[in-house]
Amino acid sequence: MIIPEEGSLLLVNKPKSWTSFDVVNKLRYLLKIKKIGHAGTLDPLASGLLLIGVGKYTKKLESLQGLDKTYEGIIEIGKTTPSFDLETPFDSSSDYMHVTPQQIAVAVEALTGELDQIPPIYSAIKVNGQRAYKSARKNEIIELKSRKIKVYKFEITRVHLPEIHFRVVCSKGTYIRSLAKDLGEKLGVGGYLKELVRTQVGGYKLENAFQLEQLVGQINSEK
Amino acid sequence: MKVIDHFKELDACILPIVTSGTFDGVHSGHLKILSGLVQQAQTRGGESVVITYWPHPRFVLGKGSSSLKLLSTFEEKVKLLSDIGIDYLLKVRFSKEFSELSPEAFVQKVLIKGIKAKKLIIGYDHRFGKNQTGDIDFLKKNKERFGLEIEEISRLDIDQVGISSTNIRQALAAGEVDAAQGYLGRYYSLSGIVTRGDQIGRKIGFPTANLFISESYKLIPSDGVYAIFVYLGLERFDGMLNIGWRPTVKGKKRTIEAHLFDFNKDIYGSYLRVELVAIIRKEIEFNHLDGLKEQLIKDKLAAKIILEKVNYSK
Repeated sequence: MIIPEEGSLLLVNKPKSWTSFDVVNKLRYLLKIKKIGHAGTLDPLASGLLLIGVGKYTKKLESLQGLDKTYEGIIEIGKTTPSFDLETPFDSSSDYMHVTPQQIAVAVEALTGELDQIPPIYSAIKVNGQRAYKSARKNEIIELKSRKIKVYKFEITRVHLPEIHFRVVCSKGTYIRSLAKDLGEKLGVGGYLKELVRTQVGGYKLENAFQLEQLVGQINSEK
Repeated sequence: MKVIDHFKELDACILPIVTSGTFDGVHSGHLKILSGLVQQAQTRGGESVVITYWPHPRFVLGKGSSSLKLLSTFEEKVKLLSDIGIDYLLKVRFSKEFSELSPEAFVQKVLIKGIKAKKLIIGYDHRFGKNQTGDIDFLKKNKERFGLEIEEISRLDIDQVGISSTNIRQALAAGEVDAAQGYLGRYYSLSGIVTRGDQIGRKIGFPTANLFISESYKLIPSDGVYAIFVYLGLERFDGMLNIGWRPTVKGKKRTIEAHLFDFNKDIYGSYLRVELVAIIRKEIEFNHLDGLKEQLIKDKLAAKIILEKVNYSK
């Protein structure tokens, strides 16, 4: 792959179970290029659109970090995990059969608009110079400050209780895992994020992204 | 909006600004062209004129025509264009003969002599005339001779939206009504008259209104169960819709059946319009009606959650 003088932007579909950093590393190795980075981490268990800047384009990544994101995924209600996703095992479960459609509508609506969101303890955020998840693993009690985020759209696309399929359009810095957990809490039965795909970042769409294998194949074939 | 089929009804026009196309579905991409047209006509004190072709050219010219289904019936298209604020819809009868007009003849006969158009607004890829040989370059090259202002809607403007009627038809054929909604800028809807069915649904607590759609060319989304809004007269109800062959009861024909929630009236013969909000599931066969009933209870809950959410955020 020929990287032009001004660098380039690559749209990549991050596979599930890879960290965003794994993807960058893989491409750094294949392209034999030092300057490479991404614009906005995707959790390891999520898949979907990752914007990768190569060469001089890495300087422009910062401006891409502020873009709005669109996600699609599944929230399961009636169960919780400490990480709010499937990275950690279930730590509670409760009956959800009494939850009504009205309650769900009200809860989802309450999670739309400008929100103060507390990031998950299992996140890459630093508290007192330490990654929050490292403290969490050591069972240290840490306090995370809430952050202002915006959920522009929170649509329910499909329901198969206990699963609720959704689409969210939100500002940067929004943790979808926290939305899932908050939804479960508002319903009084708990909830966690079962699946997540990032489908859009600003105007960049997942459907236009490279599959990682496809990109790897292309780079190798050009060697 | 006036729907016309003769040029002479445009004689009173001062400054006709025109666009042309089939505009099937009148989706967000079309809207870009059409709202621009309305705006210009208004600011310049002219009239917005849409030329549309009926039947759809693909029905007349063949090329796999028999299987082509349309997003909007003519009646629906009239309503949608009218809502945008178009002044005149010129319905041109599309025939083999009409399709033989050369680009030059089309411009002379239809645009200049017929409509006395002052301006034409068209997409960069719009083609017209015999074998689709007329294009934007032809128009630009000859605009002085024709005495026509030409405005091109650029590739950027159109592709940015990334929408085509074909995309939408494909989404609907796969049951993806929410994707279709994104492209259309509104829910996909079906309209028809309620007819008497086999009355099996009412035995298991799910009475349905069988929808008869008279336009055989109207696209019916893939078989499955959908969450819907139902418009009956001036009222709106929540409900769910089954499209399919009803394998559990060994149905002989494909039906479209609406079940309205919290509703208990005889509505045979009424005119219904349903908006498809989301697909709940594909059609499945059960060994017994009890299995179907159990599933329908789950479907109803799913539909209620989805619709409640939409109702609540409006």
